[in-house]
Amino acid sequence: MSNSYEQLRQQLQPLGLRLRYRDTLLLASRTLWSGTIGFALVLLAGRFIPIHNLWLLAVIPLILWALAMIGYLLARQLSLQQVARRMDSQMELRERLSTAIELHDQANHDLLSQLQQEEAATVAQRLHPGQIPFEVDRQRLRVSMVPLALGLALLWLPNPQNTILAEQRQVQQTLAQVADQLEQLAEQIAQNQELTAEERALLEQQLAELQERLRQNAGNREEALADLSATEARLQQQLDPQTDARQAALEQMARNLESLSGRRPAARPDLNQARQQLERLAQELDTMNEAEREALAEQLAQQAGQLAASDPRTAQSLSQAAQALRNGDIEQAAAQLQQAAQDVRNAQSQLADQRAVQESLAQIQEGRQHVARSGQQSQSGQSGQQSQSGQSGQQSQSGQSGQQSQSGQSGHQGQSGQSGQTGSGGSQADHLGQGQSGTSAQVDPNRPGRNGSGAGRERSDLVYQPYNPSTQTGERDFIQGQQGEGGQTQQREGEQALPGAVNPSLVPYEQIFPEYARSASEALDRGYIPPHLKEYVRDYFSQLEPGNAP
Amino acid sequence: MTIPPQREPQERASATLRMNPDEFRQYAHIIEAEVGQIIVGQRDLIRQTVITLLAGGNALLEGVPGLAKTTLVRTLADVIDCSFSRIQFTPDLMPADIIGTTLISEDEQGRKVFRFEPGPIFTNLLLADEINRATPKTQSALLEAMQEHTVTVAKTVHRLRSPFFVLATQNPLEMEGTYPLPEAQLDRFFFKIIVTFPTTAELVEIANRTTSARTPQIRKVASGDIITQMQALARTVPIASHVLAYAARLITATHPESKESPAITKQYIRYGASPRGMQALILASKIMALLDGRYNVAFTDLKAAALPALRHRCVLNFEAQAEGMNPDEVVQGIIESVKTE
Repeated sequence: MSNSYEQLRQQLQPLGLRLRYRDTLLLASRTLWSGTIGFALVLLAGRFIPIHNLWLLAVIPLILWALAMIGYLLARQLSLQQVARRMDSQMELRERLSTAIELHDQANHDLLSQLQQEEAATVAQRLHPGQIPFEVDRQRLRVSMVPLALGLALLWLPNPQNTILAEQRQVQQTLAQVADQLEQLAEQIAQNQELTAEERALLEQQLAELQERLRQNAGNREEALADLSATEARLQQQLDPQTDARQAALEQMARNLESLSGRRPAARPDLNQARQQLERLAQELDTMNEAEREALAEQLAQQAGQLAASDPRTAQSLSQAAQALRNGDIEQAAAQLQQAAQDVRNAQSQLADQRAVQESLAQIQEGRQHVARSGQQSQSGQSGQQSQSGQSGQQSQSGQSGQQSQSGQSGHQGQSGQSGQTGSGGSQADHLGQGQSGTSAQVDPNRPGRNGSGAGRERSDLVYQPYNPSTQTGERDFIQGQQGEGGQTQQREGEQALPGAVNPSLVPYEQIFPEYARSASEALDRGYIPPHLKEYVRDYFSQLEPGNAP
Repeated sequence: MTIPPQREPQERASATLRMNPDEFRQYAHIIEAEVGQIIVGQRDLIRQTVITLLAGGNALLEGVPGLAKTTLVRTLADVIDCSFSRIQFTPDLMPADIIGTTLISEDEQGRKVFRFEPGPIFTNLLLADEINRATPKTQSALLEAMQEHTVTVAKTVHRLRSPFFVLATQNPLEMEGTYPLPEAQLDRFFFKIIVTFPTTAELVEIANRTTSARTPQIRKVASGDIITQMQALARTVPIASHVLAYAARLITATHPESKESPAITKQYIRYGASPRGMQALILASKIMALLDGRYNVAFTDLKAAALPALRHRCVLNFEAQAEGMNPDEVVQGIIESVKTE
C-alpha cells in the first residue's frame, strides 16, 4: 500500500462519515412530510373517532420516520471510491481522487499514475469535513411544517372525543366492577351445596362467559349491555314461573304439618322440618288408630289439593298416601309418605337453583343499570349524587316483572337499600335502580310496601322528561327496543344512540317536580278537575314532593 | 518497396520516458505562445490545433477566407521546426498530384527504371486548402495518409514522416462547385475547428502587426521528435473507469437508435459518432488534462473536447436542416442531457 494512497484513505474516511450525515439530513428534510402528515392524520382522525392514547398513536409516524432515518444513516456505507467521487463532484476536484483510488486498485505504477496519486493525496490533505456543508431541502421542509402545525393546533384545541373516551374509561371501570361482583357471585354459587350439580355448573359457565366478555370489553357500553341482556335472557329462560307459588305451597304444607304435630307453626317454616315430619308420619302410621289415620288422610288430601298446581309430583305422593290410608294399606301409605318426603327434598334443591338464578339475574340487572349509567354521570356532573343512591326508574323489564308479579309472594330477590322507591304496580324498573347492598342483597318485588304510589323519591333520582327539540338544544334521546326471547320486548330508557351524548330527557326529580306541581295547581284552579277529585290530586302531589318518603 | 525509417516501439517508449508532464505543458504553452505572436486572438483555434497535433490527428478548419488559416499552419510548422506543404485543392486536382507518381527514369548505368516521385503529402504538416473543391476521388487520396500515415502507390507502401499532420480548410459560404466531404473522410479528422471572425480589438491588433514595418519573429521551440514524445506521453494519461463510461455514454447518446439517446438526438440526428469519435474525445481530453496541469482526465475535459470532436461526426437529418439547427447546438444539447454519474 503506497504512502500516498494511505494518506488519501485516511483523509477520505472522515469525509465519508460527513457525507453520510449530510445525505441523511437531506433525506430527512425531504421525507419529513411523511411523518408530519401521519402525525396530523392521526390527530385529525382522533377528532372524529375516539382513540385511546391519541398522543402516543400520533407520534408513532414521527417515530417511524426517525427510525427510518437512523436506519438509513447506519445502512448507508459509502465505499472509498464513492466518497472519492462525491468529493470530486462536491469540491470540483476534476476526478483526481476517484482516479487515484482506481489507479491504486489497478496497481498501475507508471510515471503518470504515481504522479496522479501523489497529486490526489496532496489535494486530499487540504480537505476537511467542515468543507462539506449540510444541506436541507427547504421547500420540502416548509411543506412538512404545514401538517406539523396543523397537528399541534389539533392537540391544542379541545377534542370533543375526549369526553367519549372518558366515558369509555368509566364504562370500562364499571364493567370491571360488575365482572368482579359476578366473580364473587360465581364463587358463592360454587360453594352453595344446596344447588344441583347441573344447575351449578350451568350458572358458573354462564357467569364466567359473561365475566370474560365484560373484561374484554374496551368500553363499548352498547356491547356490554347487549352481553348482559343476552345472559339475562338466558337466565330468565331458566326461571320457573311457578317457583314462588311452589315455595308458598310447600311452606303452607310445612305449617300444616307442624300444626298436625301440635306445634305452633313458624312464620317462615323450614321445609326440612316438613320433610322430617313426613318421614316421621310414615314411621308412626302403625301406631295410629283408625280415626287418626282418617284425619291424617283428610289432611294429606287437602295438602295434595293445595300443591296440585305448583308441585304436582309431591301432590300426587300425598294424594296416593291419603288414598292408601283410606284403603287401610299402611305400608303403601308409609311408602308414599316417604316418597313425598323425597319429593320435598327434590323441591328444596330446585328452589335453591331458582334462587341462585334469581340472584344471578339480580346481579346482572344491577350491573346492567350501572353500565347504563356509567359515562353519563361524568358528563352531567352528577356522578357524586348518583353514585350512592343509584338511578331509579330508568330501566324497565316488562318480561321480568311480569314473571315475578304472578306469584304475588315474596321471593329471595330483594333490596337492602332504604332509598326512595317508585313502585309502579310490579314493574321491576322500580327496584332495580335502588342501591342494592351487594351480593347478599335480595330483591322481593312483591313484598308489600314496595309497590307504592310512587311518592318519596330521593333528591338524586333522575326522571324522564319528554324531550322538546323546539325549546332545548342538545342531542336527541333515543329509547332503544330489543326483541327478547319469546316475543317479549325489552325497553331500555336512558341509553343513547351516540356514546357519550348527553341525554337531555333525564333530569333530576327535584328539578322537574315543581313544573308538574305547578301544572296540576293551574289545572285545579281553572276547573279542569272535577271538584270531588281535587283533594285526591292535591294529596297525590303532596306525597310526590321530593324527600317525602312514605 | 521503400519504407521510411521509423522508431521501433521500444524507442518510442524510451522517448516517452524522456518527457515528463511538466515539460509537456511547457512545450505546449511555448508553442501556443509562439503561434500566438503571429495569430492574433483565436486562442481556441490555436489550442485545438495544437491538441490535434499532439494527438497525432488531423484537423478540419472551417471558416471564411482571410482568417489566417494558412498562416496558422505555416507558423505552426515553423515553430515546431517541421516541413510544411500546401496543396490548393481544385476540381482538376488529381490524386497523383497529392501523393506522387511513379516515373520512368535512367539510373547510373543508363538503365530505365521506375522511380517514385513523392508528392507534397510527404511532409510533416500538410495544409489541404479548400479541400472540398477537389473531386471525391482526389479527396479520398488523403484517406490512407490521414489514418495510416502511409501512402500506397503501385502496390508500394510509403510511410509518411512523423509527425504527420493534415490541416484541411473549407469555406462554408461558397458551396457552388464544391464536393462535400464524405462521412468516411470527415471521420478521419480528429477535430473540426470552427474559425470565428476576430473581435474588433483583435482586428486592430492584426492591423498593427501586419501593416507596420516590424514583422514578428518566431522561434523554433520544438522539433518533430519532441512532438512525437509529447504524443506518446499524452496517451499515458490515466482515465478513471467512470469517466471512460461517461465518454461512452456521450457517444452512444449521439445515436438516435439507442435507447439511451436523449430526445434531441432522436429528433435531429440521422447518424451518430463512430468509435473514432470516442477515441478522439478521450485522446483530446488527456491532452487537455496535461495542458491543465493534471494527470488524469476529468468530466470537464470530455465536455470541452466533445464539440470539436463530435460536431462533424454527427450527421443531421432533414428536420434539423429545415429548422436551421447546426451540429454544435445538437451536440451541446447532448452534452447537457447526459449525466456524469
